[in-house]
Amino acid sequence: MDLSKWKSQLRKGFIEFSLLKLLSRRERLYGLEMLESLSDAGIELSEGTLYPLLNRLVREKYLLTSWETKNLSGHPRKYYRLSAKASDALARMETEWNGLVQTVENL
Amino acid sequence: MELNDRQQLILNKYFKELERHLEAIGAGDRAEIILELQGHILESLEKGDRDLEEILASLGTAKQVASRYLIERGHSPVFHKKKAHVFWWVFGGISSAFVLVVILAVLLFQALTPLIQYDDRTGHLSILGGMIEVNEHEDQVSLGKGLINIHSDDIDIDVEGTEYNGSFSRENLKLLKVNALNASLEFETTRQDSISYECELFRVGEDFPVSAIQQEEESVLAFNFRDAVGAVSCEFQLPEGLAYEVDVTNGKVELNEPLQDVKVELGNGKLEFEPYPNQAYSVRSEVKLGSVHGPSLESTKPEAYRIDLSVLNGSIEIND
Repeated sequence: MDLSKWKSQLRKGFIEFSLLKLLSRRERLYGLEMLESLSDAGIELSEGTLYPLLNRLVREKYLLTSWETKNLSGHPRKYYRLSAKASDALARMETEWNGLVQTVENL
Repeated sequence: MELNDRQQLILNKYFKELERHLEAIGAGDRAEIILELQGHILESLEKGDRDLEEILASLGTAKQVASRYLIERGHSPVFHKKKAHVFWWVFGGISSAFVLVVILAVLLFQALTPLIQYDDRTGHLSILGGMIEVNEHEDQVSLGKGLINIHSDDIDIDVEGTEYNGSFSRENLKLLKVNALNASLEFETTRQDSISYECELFRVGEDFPVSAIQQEEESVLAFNFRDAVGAVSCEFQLPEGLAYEVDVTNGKVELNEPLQDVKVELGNGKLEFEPYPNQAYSVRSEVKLGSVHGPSLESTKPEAYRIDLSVLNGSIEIND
């Protein structure tokens, strides 16, 4: 079996789930912080994938954004936080995820 | 953080290109995307872990980034639609087959006159005492002493193909193989340690098996377009040192400044090789029917890359 293909398919849904989960634990985050937090958790995601994905989640109203320009770095940061719609979706995703894990464990 | 002139130039070029590729998105959204990515790059630079080239490599080329945004928004990815000169590959294949049949038939009758005359200087091929004339410099073919004239400008099939793009890290790969029936392939060597390809596939079967095209076994990555696709146009970007082998029946293959060993076998068509400046090469070039233009590169230095070029009918151009 081609493990890399399987991993790539598995990652697609998993990355969105991880992002929403991460944001549910923090009040708000900007892109670079998300990459660092995901990397610390062992999830490697390139910035070239993250930003377009965030852009879509905003358009689908799962994420709310705010710009901050007066920070220590001096660079404008776009912060993301979960919408109510995303909190509902995340709860359903967690149920699905736990169900899947349980199913596989019961095999 | 102050950027130096070189960094500023690279960033300006990157964002200018990105903005151009994102034209399908509204100006406001476009500005936000660019502002966010600028902030990301500058803050990443300040952290000091990576230099600008590494950050941009991780982000992807402007075209790749724009494509991802467009795909996430349900748009078609960035692709400069080229007028597909499929006709030329197909036509080349058909006319070559026709020529071969005629030659064989005439051979049977033991014709005494020269069957084929080829003028290397003018690129003029005359077959059967001028019954069929091919002028490769002008892409022109005449049949029956000018009775029928076909010029490549006369025929333009504007076909939209199927996108087939991707990239992945080099990891343990040592060899890339590309196999196709009708193809226009460009190969470039980049400083990135990843392989990327942007292809347009033509005449794809309804049950198009993408998985059948790409196969990876141990240290060899193979793209086999021959079985699944009628014709393909591709641009490959490969890391330095990753050898590649190309097997195309009809079409055109361009090798741009390779920094690796390369082997190309082309049935009918044109092969262009642009050497990397000051790089040593050991080149073997062979054309059965047609010509080789350009200098002979036969370095015996140990660092010389081996370039093995073979064309059945057509030409090899080695640029100075």
